[in-house]
Amino acid sequence: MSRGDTIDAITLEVLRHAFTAVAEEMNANLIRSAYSPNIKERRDCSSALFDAEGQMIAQAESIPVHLGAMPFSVAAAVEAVESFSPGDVVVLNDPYAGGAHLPDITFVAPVFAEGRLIALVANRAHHADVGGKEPGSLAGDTVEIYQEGLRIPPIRLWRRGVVDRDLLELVLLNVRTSGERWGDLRAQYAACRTGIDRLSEVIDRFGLETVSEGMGAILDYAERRMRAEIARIPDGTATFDDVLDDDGVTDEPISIRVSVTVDGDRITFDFAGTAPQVRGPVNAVLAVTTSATYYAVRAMTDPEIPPNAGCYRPIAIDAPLGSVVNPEPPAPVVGGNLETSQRVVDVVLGALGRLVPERAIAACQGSMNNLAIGGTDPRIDRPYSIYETIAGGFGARPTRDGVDGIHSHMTNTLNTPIEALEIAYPLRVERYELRKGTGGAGRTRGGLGVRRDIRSLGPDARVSLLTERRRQRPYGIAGGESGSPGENVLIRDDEEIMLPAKGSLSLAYGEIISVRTPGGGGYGPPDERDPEAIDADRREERV
Amino acid sequence: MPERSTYTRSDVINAIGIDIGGTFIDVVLAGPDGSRLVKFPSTPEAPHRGVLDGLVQLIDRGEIDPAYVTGIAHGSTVATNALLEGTWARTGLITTRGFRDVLEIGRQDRPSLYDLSVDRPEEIVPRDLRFELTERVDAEGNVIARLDPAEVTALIPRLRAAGIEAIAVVFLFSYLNPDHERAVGCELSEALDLPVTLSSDVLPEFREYERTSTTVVCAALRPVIGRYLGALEEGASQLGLPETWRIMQSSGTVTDGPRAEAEPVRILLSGPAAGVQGARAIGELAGHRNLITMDMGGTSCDVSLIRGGALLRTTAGEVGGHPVAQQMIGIHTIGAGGGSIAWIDTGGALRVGPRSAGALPGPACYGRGGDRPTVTDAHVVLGHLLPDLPLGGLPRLDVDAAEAAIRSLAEPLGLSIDEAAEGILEIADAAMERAIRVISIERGYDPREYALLAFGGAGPLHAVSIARRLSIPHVVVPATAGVLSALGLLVSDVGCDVSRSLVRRLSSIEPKEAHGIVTELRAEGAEILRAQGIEESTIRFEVSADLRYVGQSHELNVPIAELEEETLSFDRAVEAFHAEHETRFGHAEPSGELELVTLRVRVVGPPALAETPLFEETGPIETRTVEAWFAGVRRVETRVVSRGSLGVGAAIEGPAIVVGSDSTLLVPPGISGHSDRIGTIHLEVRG
Repeated sequence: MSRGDTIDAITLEVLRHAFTAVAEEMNANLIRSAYSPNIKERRDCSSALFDAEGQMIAQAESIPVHLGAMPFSVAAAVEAVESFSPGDVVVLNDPYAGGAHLPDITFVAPVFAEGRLIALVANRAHHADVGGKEPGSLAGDTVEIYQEGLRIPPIRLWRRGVVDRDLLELVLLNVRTSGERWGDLRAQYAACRTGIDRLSEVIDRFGLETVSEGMGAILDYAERRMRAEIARIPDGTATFDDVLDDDGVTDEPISIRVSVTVDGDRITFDFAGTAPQVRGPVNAVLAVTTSATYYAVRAMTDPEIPPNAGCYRPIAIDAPLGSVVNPEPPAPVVGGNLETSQRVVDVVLGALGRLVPERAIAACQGSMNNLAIGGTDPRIDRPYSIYETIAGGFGARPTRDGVDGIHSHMTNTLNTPIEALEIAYPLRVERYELRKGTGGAGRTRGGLGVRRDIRSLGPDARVSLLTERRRQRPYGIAGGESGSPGENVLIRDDEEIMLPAKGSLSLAYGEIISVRTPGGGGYGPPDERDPEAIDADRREERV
Repeated sequence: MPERSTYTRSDVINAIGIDIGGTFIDVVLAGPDGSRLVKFPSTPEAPHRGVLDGLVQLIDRGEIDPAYVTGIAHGSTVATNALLEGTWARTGLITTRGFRDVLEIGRQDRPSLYDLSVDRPEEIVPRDLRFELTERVDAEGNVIARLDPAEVTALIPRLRAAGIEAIAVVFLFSYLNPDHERAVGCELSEALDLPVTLSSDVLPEFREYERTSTTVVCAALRPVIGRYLGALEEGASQLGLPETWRIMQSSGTVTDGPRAEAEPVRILLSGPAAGVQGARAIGELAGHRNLITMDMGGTSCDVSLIRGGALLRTTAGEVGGHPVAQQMIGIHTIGAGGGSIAWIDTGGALRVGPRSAGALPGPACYGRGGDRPTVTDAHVVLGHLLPDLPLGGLPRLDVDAAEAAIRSLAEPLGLSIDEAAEGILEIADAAMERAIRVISIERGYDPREYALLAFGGAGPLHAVSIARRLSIPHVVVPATAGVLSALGLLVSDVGCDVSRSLVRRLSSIEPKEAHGIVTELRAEGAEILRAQGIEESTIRFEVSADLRYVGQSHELNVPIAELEEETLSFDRAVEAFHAEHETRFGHAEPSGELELVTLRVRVVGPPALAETPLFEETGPIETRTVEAWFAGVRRVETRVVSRGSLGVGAAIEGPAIVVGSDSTLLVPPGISGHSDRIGTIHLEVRG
């Protein structure tokens, strides 16, 4: 008998609201009290509630890449700490011990009631810098994780509510903007307090027994809903292959392969056949591969199922150890989170689409188009650095074109307004527009990529690019054509110089970095396209 | 009840408030001796017609005498509906070369993380109606590429051929230097007989996407609102009524018709803003300046927060997915209303909403063929709504149909009908509790310091239960629960909001320069109010600034009265900023450098009515008792009380059902309170 048998249909729904509120209020408080724009504006953070055994009960996330990764953090924290005391807070970022990539720092704190551990709360936020070889800790050409920044194993940064000053100073000494970091770390600590207080209120209201049983019931409930969804997918096995352009260090394409098997109400993803881990920073730790897989399953089934451990019980993931989707240390990983995660989604959706063609989607742009620019601002003679991701084409759907110029899959962070960017940095945006003709043709058309041209108005800016789909196109399906690949271009005296997908370069005064993002793949034979849609595309200069 | 009075003669009515809802037009007739409410059916297919028909009837019945009416204030959903239904004017957009897609790309995010079928809202300006001109202004306001007059001239025949009805012009950094926008505006206005809307007029603030969207919405609604208000003005004039009406704006102040026509983007939240203003007025009379308002109707529930008598406003609003960066009352809406349908999902949980039975077929108890169980049906089954005192103009509620609908849920869940009905209410309450938590706790406001003011047809049924969940100590239910919007129209200030972005380090700005800008903004706002006939001596100014720490991208608005006085210092504003940052975000950095993002001036004049009008509550006298179900105590004998029979200071003891003309208040056992001199009911909520 499961724990949840005594929870009725009404209490279940009321507790679902209550547990969701705990996670969402924790996250709202984190966003509200964070210092840096990356958390506060771009909302690159998430918060979750776990039971005492580390099963995730409820999660609030604003970007999918955190989706399946938090349970790894909690498991690592529980393993590292033999016995929690009230007021303890475990902090970690090591991708090989519960993290995803170093800039994501996760907090885990216990919740006690009636003298015993009854739950854990956790939150994760992307910090603007955690040390390493380049400002922003997102270098595209590292070969070891040691170059990527400070690694924090699961440590108790707070013991019984008191911060460990020694550890804190060690952490802050190893990052570039320590004041801002401490502000954001405090916000994460405050969010843990919020989570603990809110869950304690829920326990006061409903009673410890009901809450404990309710947690079990919520897991069983989500599991039932996910099983019902999986059962609607025909049994069978489908395999899908795709590649990453390169690892930023060597020039070889990197194969990602998944085989999905649906058996009744269970589903298994096997990444056997995926390339071994690589030298450059596109290795995705298992937490990232898991997040990307969960994202794809949620998107293909019912996204309204509460994102908790029960929802994921029917999903098994096998990723060979030592592969690019489950690397061993000290492989560098920063781009695994940013770029490889997108390709994992592409293969998982590709394989699932073969089992349920009516819900299939062509490939989206498949990159976050990470662009970092840094240098000295001649107006104030101070260093500056800016990090952006750039939208591209969405994949075509069976009855709808792909959306033009929009973020897809594992990210959803905002752009920087042009007027804000030009005020804050010695840069000028020369163009920000859709790329005509880049969407894959089809019965429904892939979304258009975007062109963003930025001119440097300072001396010798450094540009870092961590991008994908510059050679391999986003695939079309069911007879649809692939989307156009992206291009990174340096414009010097009106001459266009092609740049690699990943790497760094200097930008002299007046030179332009032009990032042109990929279009989405098309769906269905192009000759079946509705003539009216063709007319509209021509009239609106989209093809 | 000596304080209350009712007018008897039409010649004392001099102010009329008209609010259009989905089903009814609520009209408040007010004068120095009293007020009353009249309802007419609304005519959604031609909204102006129902209003004018209603006015004709009022005149014919001798309820108003046009000669004595000095002001009409109006709240309208016409602008909102046009935006939601896509019935805007065919609009062209002119942008800086290289940036016509800013409107489409937006902030590059998608509205739903996991929905692969996601699409953007329908574009107001399709790509082939977005035109580019060579020109560029830099981040300091310097022209770095000159506008070419020949290009503008060449554009005119293309615009003419495009068959558009309105034009929006948005150039980068035009809030710093509007010359190019103005030059294009002049040229096009002369050449084409079309309304031209400039972003530097509508929203001289930074962030190009939000400014573009706001300007485009404004331009596309001008022909629509122009036709609508034109019809009202003409009709009113024929009836001998004032032809210039006051229109409620999203900010909670009213403006006159011509300005609403010129900038309809400011009236998108007209109706809800009026409701919150009405709630604020009633709350103040009830002695509560900290209020959480809850307006629960048939399909949705709007919640809002008033702190220290001030409405919380935002400039980060959107309507129908289109950002509208205008001062708006902060309202959070969820899909929970009387018509919300209860159902069992695939995981076996009982769910309520977001689908609604709407007005047709409506809840099962309406007897119009609805068979899905709704929140209203749950109330009927539990005895909270009396079948012979029905809603929505129905002769009688069908209890059997409500029971049958609830039974369809109760049986598979193994519950009694009463238990299932209680469960539906509990779940609806849980959703509304979440909505209130979002606007209070998540923003740093503690609901225990507030009173819950409940209105709308279903609000008072849920008020006590929701207050208990959030430990809100007071519940306030106005006598005029159903007409707060119409009332709010008459008690809101006339006003306008003017602003200008600077986005510069505070240390680089001389207070004298800021004072100069504030002086210009004050003059601009005062002129707008004078043009509406507001007397100079009654005009007030509220000066504020959006400030932030350098390096951050979110601003806080703090008042800076000192800039009106030409005090040569920002000290008090800076102090206020740090304090507000501490309150809202839990920390501050007193040594941090600040950036002045936007200067704002709200210019206000007196409302149509100096005092909140009082209403006579009518309704049958009730003496019976019923068996009603309350959570925890099940069925108990419950007194039915009619609001009209409650005297000043009358005590109310739960369990009781207080029936009024437009809503029913549920007072559970153990809850008590009283009625005050204007008929507002106060309940104290413990535990």
